[in-house]
Amino acid sequence: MKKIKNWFNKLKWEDEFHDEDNKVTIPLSKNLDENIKNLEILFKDCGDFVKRKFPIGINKELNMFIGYIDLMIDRRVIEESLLEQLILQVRSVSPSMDKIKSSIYEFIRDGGIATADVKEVETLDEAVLAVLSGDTILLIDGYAKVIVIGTKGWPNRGIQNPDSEVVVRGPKEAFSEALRMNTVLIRRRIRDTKLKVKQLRIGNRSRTDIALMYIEDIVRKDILEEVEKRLNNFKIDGILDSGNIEQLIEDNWKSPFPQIQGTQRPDKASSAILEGRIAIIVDNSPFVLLIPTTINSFFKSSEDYYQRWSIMSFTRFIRYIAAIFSAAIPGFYIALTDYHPSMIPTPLTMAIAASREAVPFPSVVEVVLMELAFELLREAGIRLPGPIGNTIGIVGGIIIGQAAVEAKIVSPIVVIIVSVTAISSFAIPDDSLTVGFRLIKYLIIAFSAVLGLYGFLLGGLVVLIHLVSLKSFGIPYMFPYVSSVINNYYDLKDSIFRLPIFMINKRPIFARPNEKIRLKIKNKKGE
Amino acid sequence: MFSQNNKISMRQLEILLFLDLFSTAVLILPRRAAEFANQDGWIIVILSTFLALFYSWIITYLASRFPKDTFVEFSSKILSKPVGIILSLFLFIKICFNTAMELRIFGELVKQILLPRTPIEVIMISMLFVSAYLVRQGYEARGRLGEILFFVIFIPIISILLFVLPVTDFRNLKPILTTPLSKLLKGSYDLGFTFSYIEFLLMVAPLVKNPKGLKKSAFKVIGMVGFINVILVIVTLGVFGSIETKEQIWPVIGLMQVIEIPGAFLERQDALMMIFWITSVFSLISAGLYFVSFIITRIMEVEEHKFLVFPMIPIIYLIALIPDNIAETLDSINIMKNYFRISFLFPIPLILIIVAKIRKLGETIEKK
Amino acid sequence: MRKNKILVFIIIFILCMLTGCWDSMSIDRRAFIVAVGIDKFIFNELEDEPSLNKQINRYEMTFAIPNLQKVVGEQGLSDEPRFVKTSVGPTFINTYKNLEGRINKNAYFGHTKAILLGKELLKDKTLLKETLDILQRNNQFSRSIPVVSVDGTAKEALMANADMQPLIGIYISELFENNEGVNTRFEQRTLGDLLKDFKEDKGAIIPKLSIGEKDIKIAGAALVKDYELKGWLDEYEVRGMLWIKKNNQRLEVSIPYKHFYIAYHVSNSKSKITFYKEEEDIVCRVLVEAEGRLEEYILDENILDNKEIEKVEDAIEKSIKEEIENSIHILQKQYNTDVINIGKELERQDPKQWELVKDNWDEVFEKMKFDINVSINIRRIGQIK
Repeated sequence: MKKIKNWFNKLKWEDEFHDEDNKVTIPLSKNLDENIKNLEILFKDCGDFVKRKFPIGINKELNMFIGYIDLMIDRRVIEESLLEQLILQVRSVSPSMDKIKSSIYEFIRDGGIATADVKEVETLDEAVLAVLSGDTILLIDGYAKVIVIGTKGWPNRGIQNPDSEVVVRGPKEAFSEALRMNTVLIRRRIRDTKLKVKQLRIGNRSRTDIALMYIEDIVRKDILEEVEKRLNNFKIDGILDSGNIEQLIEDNWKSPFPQIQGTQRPDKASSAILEGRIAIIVDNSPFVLLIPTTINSFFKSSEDYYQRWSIMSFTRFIRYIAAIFSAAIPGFYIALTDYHPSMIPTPLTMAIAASREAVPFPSVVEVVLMELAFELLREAGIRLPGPIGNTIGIVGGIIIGQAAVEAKIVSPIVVIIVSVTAISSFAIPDDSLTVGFRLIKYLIIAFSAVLGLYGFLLGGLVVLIHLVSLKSFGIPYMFPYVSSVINNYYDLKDSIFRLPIFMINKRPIFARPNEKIRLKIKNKKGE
Repeated sequence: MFSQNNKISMRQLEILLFLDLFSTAVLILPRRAAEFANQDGWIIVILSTFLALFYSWIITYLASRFPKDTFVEFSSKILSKPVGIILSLFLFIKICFNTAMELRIFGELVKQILLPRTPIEVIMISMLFVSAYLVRQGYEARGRLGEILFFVIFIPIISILLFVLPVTDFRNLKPILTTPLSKLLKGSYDLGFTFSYIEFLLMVAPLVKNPKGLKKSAFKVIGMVGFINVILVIVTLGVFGSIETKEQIWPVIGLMQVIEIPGAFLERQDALMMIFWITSVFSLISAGLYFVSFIITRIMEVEEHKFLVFPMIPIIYLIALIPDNIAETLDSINIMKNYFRISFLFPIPLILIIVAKIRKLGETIEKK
Repeated sequence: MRKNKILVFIIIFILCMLTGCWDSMSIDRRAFIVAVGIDKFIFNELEDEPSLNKQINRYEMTFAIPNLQKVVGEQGLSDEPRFVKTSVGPTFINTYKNLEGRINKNAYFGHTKAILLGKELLKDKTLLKETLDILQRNNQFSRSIPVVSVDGTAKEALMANADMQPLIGIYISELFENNEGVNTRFEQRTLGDLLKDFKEDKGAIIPKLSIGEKDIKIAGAALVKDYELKGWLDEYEVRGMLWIKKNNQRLEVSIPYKHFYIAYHVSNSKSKITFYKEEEDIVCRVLVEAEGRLEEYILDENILDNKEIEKVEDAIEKSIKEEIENSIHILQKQYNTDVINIGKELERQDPKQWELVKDNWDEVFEKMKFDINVSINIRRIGQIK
């Protein structure tokens, strides 16, 4: 037994340079060669690590070392601002090297580098991390300090159009993968020093940069603390997308409903921040998390505020209806046809019964079959590249819409039911919420299949109970439809209906209680 | 942060109370009222509402004297611990029984109207489990659900009334006031028990964020429920006439069958209108289940009530299965009513108040 | 522990799923009975099987089931647009169970559009009472199903070949739905109305259905008192009665006038019943007010003249008054049935008086004097003078 254990222990990576959080433990030394040796050990077999040791001074007596990761840096900065300065200019400073030799470090730091983004770090760990983040390190012989020069500049795809959350009217920019670019997109919209960008690093190995963006005097302090607490609550090796973070900090992992909103749109994120919410931006992810979230936030599209209130109120209402439809229609159909046909108008009953006459399956099987076929189509359509994806739609439409009906595998009414469900589910603006409703649909089908309309209702109650018991960072998920009294029923103005913009003059629940007013109109119309 | 899981706002309490009171009354009320006073039934309902206001005045007076305690604690404080616990157990049994009977009636009706071949056990058990799911989420979830269910229950009732109005024949209410006064009083005493769920107020004080306005809220809710009840009885009597209202076991369901919504997608609305009724019974049963487990928690002095919810299910379920048929169910409810119902509405709270006053216990907030 | 709990719950749920679906019945497995005809079973030696000749058989019920594929307009296996099935039995349920052995689908009454009661059934007090009881007790029957009486047997009526809509049940319900407002030779009585009538007034009228060559006709009514058929009212007698019973009538009155006929169309009518005493006797005063337009007159005679209009109005009033009096007379003397709710009206207006007479109301009603007043207005006369 012990042997096996030992054997296993031997298999473990023996690493005296890192602690258990994967931080470099080697101290910086004053001796450059030792530091270089350590760095070489750390970057062993890292082919992308570019390093160069070079002497400066007329007599080439002072050795320096720079290192960076290839292509993660902006070569122009290194060449023009650093190497040129150091290698050419410093040499030509003055012959009295000895004078400045004692203050060579300060001299180089303050005068030798022609860029503003210069930092000083005192541990090897930070230096290594800086290299891995795309900065360049500069080591000088005789000093146990590292100068970090901000040279980040890796290839990225720039700012593109959002591929989800498309709007007719409004900005067409989308977040991209680079964290800094994303913060810029928000900063450009809110030019306030109180807009804070609090940076964290999460992931023992990935060391992903994460930024919390919020407006200092609007955000609720307790929520901010809770978010930070939860972010520090776990250790993970890598964060590859904001989705990882979302699942780690959400309130209830059992729920099919998303409790944190992700968005691709900077304008949406900015408006959320202005409402007092916190945006979590994760490097390498084009999706920004907005915290806290209520179910109502998922039904808002940023366009809602750019278009006039009457049409948007109507659209909101339609979206809510669509959400209910997408979860309830198949179950309701089963409950009605299998249990209570007396509720369907007589001509329709006869039409349904006649069309089902030759169908071999019970209607539950029929509906589930079609729903699954639709899910398959949807999944296949997403995975396939663009042009082929379209053909899937056509094939699916023909096979399911027509052939299956003609072959009497399903009845035409079920095709209608499934398509209405599908269309409804696409009308929900947020995709992650759609997923919730898609899953709930099957629960309701099951309940309806066993207990008819009564089961349908029980299923609905179960979903409702679940929804009302959910919370997102302390705020009831169903807010403002429940507990609206906390904010004096104010949030109902921007819920199922969006009232005219001058009526929504206060911030919603997310904001600090004494920072509610956000709109003042000097001369009201008609006065 | 904004809400602990076991505290509700006053508004949520009002809504819950509204649902509980309304659900018990709505189905049988027109029949009972007509049995006592024929076309004058609505007068009984008004009188019984006043009676309920009186009960609630006593109960809320007692409850607001002890804003941090439930019945279990303050009865122990006032009348020594053993007596308090016996009284609480008594209340426990009573709520158990009531809930079980509600469940049974509910099961019978669902079986009769919606699912004639499904075993009643399945109907009842599924309802109990869904209720238990809610109860386990805490009282606040109940409060929040109430806010949503309020509309599910209220909108159908209003729409029933709107659609029934054209076929209502108000001449059926004539002649007015031909019933002797003694009958009216007896009837209103009896119908006062449709409000018997105000005894939940004995226990909610510590569950509410700010229990000061308890009395005002209770009055408001009872007034509203009474108002709707009166309208409902008037409409039912108007549609059916007093004789047929008496004949039907569930006149309100009959009312639903009368409606014809012009251009409606659905052929018959009665089954759909059951939705409103099932939801209201659901809120009632979950209330019963909650308070049953809550009393036990308080008696046993346990912190968490979640674990005591599931053990309550078989108890209520087995009680519900005792009667053989609907007639026996209604009978046993009547027995219960005759001997027990009044106790927690009037005598016991009154005794408690008197003793508390003598022993000078509790807060005296009435002083200005 | 926790996992076990979830497991148990899932198992219970799956068990429910597997053994469950007690009430589930695919819509195509149901036979939608659009009309039910109920007759008293009378053994016919020439036609019926001898085995049916048992005392025990009391009902003969006829069920009309649509051939769905034909109804929807598809090619079906059978060319019949509807199937009419008859079965006999001692009780309603037994009869219906007998039917279940003879059709390949599950009989379903949720879409029943009409209930037809045969003449013989209406004459049998017990059977009618039983029938009304089951129709109310069984919640499959909606209270809004129209009920008609058949002068003949319900079976014949359901077998009738109506060419516009072979499904008699739908035919009847559509007829009521579309023509009730404009035709007052019948009054639609739904199951709910009827049950209420019987319970409260002891008497009821049920619209009468007569079978034609290629259609059916609904006009007139059967008058039932104490669950027993008293007789038939023809369409004019029904109309005379409805003047009192119903407000907002839309109907036409055609009367001879001078040497030709005129037609008057009522667009709005109102009736009011009051009581006064005349030497210890209660007199019922009925005031009928109506307004409408003159629809038919004659060419070359000028009607655009107030005096002429008044004359016409007088003639029409007289005719209506006669019609009402005739109906009341028949109700009083011939059938002695208060289906126009005079008693109830008396109770509402004068409860004390009602207490005195309610025990022998039939006699009081028979002898009651009626004071009929009709006042009509001609508001419009059409496009020519």
